[in-house]
Amino acid sequence: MYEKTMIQKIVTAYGPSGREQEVTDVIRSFVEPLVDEVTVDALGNLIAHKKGTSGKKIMLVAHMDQIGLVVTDIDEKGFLRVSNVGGVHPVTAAARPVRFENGTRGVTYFETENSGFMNPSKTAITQLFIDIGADSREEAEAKVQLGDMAVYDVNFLEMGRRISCGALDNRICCAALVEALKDMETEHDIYAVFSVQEEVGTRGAGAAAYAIGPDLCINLDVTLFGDTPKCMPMAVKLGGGAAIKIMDASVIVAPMVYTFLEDVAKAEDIACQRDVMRMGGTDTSVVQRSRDGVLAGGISIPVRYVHSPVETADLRDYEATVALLRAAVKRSELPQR
Amino acid sequence: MLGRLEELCNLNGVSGDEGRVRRYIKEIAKDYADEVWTDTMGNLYAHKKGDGPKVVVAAHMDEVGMIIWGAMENGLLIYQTQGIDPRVVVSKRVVVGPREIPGVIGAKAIHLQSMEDRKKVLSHSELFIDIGAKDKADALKYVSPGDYAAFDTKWERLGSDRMKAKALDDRMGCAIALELLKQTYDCDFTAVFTVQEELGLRGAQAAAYNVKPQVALVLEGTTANDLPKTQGHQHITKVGGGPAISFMDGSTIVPRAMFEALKSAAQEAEISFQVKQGTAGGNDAGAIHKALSGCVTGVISVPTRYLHSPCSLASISDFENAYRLADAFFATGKQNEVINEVL
Amino acid sequence: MDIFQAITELTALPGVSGSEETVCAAVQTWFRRYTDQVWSDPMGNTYARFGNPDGPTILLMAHMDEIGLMVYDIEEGGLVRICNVAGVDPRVLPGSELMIYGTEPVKAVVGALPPHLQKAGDVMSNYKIEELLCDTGLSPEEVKERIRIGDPVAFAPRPPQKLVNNVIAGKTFDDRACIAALLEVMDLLKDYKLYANVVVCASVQEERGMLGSGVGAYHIDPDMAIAIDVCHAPQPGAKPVDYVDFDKVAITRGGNIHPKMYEKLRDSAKEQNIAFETDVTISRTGTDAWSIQVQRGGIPTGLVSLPLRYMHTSVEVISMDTLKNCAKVIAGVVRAIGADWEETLCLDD
Repeated sequence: MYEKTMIQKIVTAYGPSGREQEVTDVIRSFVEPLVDEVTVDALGNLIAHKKGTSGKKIMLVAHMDQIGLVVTDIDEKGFLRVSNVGGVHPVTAAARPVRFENGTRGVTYFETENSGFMNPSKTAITQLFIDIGADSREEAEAKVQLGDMAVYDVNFLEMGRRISCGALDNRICCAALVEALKDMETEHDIYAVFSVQEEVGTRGAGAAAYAIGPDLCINLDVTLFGDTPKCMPMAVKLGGGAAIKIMDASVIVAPMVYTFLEDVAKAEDIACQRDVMRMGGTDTSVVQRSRDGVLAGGISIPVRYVHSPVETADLRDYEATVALLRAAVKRSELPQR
Repeated sequence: MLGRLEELCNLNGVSGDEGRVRRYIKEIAKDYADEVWTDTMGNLYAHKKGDGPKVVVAAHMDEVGMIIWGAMENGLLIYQTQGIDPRVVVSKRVVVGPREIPGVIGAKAIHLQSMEDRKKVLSHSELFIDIGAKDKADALKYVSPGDYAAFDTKWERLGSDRMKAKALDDRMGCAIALELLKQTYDCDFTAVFTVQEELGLRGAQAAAYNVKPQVALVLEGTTANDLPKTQGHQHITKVGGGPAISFMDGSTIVPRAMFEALKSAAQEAEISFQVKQGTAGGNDAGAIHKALSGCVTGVISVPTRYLHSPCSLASISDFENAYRLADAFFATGKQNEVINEVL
Repeated sequence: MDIFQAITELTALPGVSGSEETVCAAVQTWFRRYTDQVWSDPMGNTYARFGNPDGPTILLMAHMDEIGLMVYDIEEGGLVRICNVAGVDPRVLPGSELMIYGTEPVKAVVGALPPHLQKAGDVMSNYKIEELLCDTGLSPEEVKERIRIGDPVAFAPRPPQKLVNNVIAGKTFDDRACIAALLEVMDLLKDYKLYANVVVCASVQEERGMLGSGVGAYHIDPDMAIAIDVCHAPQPGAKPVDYVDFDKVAITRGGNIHPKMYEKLRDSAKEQNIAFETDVTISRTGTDAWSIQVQRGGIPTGLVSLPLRYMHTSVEVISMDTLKNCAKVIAGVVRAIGADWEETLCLDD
């Protein structure tokens, strides 16, 4: 079973790439009672260590940052100009409520001359602005500074077995990792890493992997889907279970790692599906190539409408992911090359 | 510091061929550092031992330029380049190879051009370096495949506060780092002069491994796009507006503690500064901050117009204030504050 | 060593980037002919060590992975959808024979719409890989049994073909021919008492962006390294700046290459009267040399290339004589390493 208030707290916390302090605090409050030691490294990765006896180290990693908008200019009328933090679609980013870390609220819109919704293919992030209700530069600067970041300010929506919110990529996996740490049975050293700056190019997890030097890594991240009207073909379905990563645009998982996860799923009767994601990269890649190389795989939760304010996931996939993660670390025999 | 900058800008040091710049810097740095050494990639390290955190100040020695692929039967040299707009090289002087053979890049005279020719942009593969050689064999007496070619532009002051030169990006950083070496700060201080930044932050990656810094400050020449018809939010930086402090670019997000510490260093020392507005482009910070198990990294840049061309332009006071800002940061012990705040 | 035999064996085996286990086993067997010290790292890079264990380490690397595809979806009727793993030119796929490496290898053809059914203008645009379908001729049930999402797919192997003049044609010469060249290097060095410690590495995932070699170089932490890969030889439509003569060993100079490693290779070729050409690349060579160079605190890296026609097709063409010369050039550098090795790598300043 899952704890919905925990999921909601983690999913709705503020934390664009490079500014993950708030979400770090939220996650830290949940994991501290569950592990032996919690540390934060120079980049801001939150590393929760649960001691084991086998002498083997397993790194479980989920990134906690979300995409956002960063303020690059404030004009004399108080409008904020922005750049994207991570993969923001300019069209998806318009006409949205947003919020800043200090609670300042605003809305986004496009320049309407020569651009905007009439011609989405021509719209660029430089045409987007945020209106925070200020009348002048001075009034705006009292609330927001250059370099401050905004995220979508959206509600946590429950739709039966499914939930929708911004930042399900990848907070749903952060929640799953916290959930899995509860009553986790394992003889191995567990390093649960909540990594930073994945959305701007998997910049955080590599530093954590370098410091830990794990024998096995399991990355939790979201994957895409192939089950909405007229979408790109893909074998992954929402509600189809934990998606076991075989390949994404950044990494090919070693066969002994994904077959290990599949065998565990089969033995424990956990719903799973194979995940070949043709676009998008994940932290799995940088961990795999850390130091002398690491056997690194991934369990993905399918999320529809990724990088929009209405990302949608199925809680059955969430439960399957938690179950698979718990069962996998319980094994004495870990995959080996 | 300005005289040194002039000498540095007039040296040729295309990515992969930084030897001249390295030798120049080494000569000066050895008087101020406890040890000066070069790694196998060509990065130069000037280390001042000290207590406290391991700090790196990084500036890259390389500049954009060309490499000679070979010669044609008629004696013209075929070149390759990276990061240079082909429209800026026509009708420019260059120097080629270790012996600095002079050459020019010409193109068909305007009289001989058709209307179509006039509209068309010449690509690098249609442009050649002419060293005056009679034929292929003659050309290869002076130049070998793999020799480098650099723009032949001299540093000059323009007006009271502006200067033009090639390679302002990043010899300004090199000059500032050399000046910082003269001071003593509360830390273990290494000035790193990196190679191959323009090829993708190559030298800095190895340099970070070699020094293993806890705090790094990257000194750069960055884009100034403060030109007519550019909207305010697309200026990135403005020449004459003071040194630029970055919160984010295409390769790095600066930790808030570092960004704030740099701003307060400027405010406390009463140095006018600007916040770099754009988030595109990258610099050695991109490689350094995520090397090993991570490093707290910030960037100070000198706004520079017309980057990657034979003639770039910057403000002398921005350059000098960038030094003052970096100096103020270390002199007030901000390197220790940011470490305490982040970790 | 019978180079043709080695190439024949090595190119018969699948090894799409990220799924190199099968070819890896064969490479290990070949390595064991020359040394007992053979191992792999967690990414799958496979190593053989010989020479003087106390000497400076030189790493010699060629990649064993090949371009290829992966099953990403299976239609209800059993037709198989494939996506690119690395390097496959979509233009060569329609009408090609592929092998899907499922629970057992399954032969498949890539369907193409016959001209009779096309609309005017269809022929003007190339197919995208994602819209192509693989037909195995099997029933949907049989497909389900033998093929799963994530199975690697490669061009169906055929033995290499000998052409005239010691020239051969076949698939995956990029870069298995260079693995054969490394075996030849081992063969050339087997009777020498070497000063250097030599580690030969067959790397993985080069075609995905030189992903294995960085780990390999970090793992070995060598004092110097030489990568060997293929480069373009003259072929229809190519410009002189794109290629190196078919019968010359290409030795690269540029930002990716340590100047002294270039000189060592050049001198080795000159001393042995081997025809070579300096191949100039300002920056990224697109070979394992690129990721080796920046590992740890920087590694002096050189690059030797074997000219090849029609890269990334199933009819790649090389000269076995040039291949042997590549091996001789590398072996010459290894033999020349002596007690002064550190000085020989000092930059000129």
